Amino acid sequence: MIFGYQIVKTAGDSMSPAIFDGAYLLIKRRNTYQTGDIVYVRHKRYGNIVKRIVSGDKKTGYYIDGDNIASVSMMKMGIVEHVRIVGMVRMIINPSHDNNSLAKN
Amino acid sequence: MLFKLLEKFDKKHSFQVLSAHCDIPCKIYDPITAQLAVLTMIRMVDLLNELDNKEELSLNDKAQFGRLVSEKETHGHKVKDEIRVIWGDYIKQPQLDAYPEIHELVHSIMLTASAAKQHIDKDVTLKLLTLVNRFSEIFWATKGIDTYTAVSPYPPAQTLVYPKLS
Repeated sequence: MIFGYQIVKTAGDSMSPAIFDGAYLLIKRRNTYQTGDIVYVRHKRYGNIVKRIVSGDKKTGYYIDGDNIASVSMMKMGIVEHVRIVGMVRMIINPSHDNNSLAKN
Repeated sequence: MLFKLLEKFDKKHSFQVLSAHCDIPCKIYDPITAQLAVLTMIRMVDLLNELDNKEELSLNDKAQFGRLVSEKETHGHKVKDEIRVIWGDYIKQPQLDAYPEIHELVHSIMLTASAAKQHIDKDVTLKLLTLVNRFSEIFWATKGIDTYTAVSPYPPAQTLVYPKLS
């Protein structure tokens, strides 16, 4: 990680259509995260994963889910503690040229 | 451009990989089934109109009439079922955000498919094909796959939207 930024690669379609299989992500560490943020999580059971926060906050922990219906379910992943979130996706570089985008704050 | 640069860098230095895998076998969705069902409806209408041009119908013609109407009805249901499943099971908030027209489009498909079942009207079936083709375009776009149009190489030789999979 350089200056709080890191580039990673994704494998899988659970975040499609926002993130396609093989996309590169620019990750930025943050102090807090909010609903709608796509985050890099070091999950106890599922390892290093990328998912979207659907509810929660720094104190209570976060519920995360994939955008794709076939994703590991939110209930299976359970509550994710703040310390397990490595960073937020700030930029998505998809294999398709039309789908590169800056992630929202 | 940026993707290619990262890809080259990745081949030499290997970025860390994050998993975005699914825990169940990904469902198989493809609007081509609905598109082919519309083509069948159009073909049935063409054949029904051919019968209509005859001065008198033989017993076989009458039996053919029954079959054609029945097949048109069956494929009208198929169009509705296939579109409903993709809309209900595959389309989620991100797809709706990207294509807010989906709800209205699907509703139009339902209404037009019903009209196409109720009448022997080629214009209605062609309108249905236009709507289902648009649905197909959106479906493939949500997967990041470009589409192209081509005339089906069999009757009723209408234009279909196909994914560029090569």
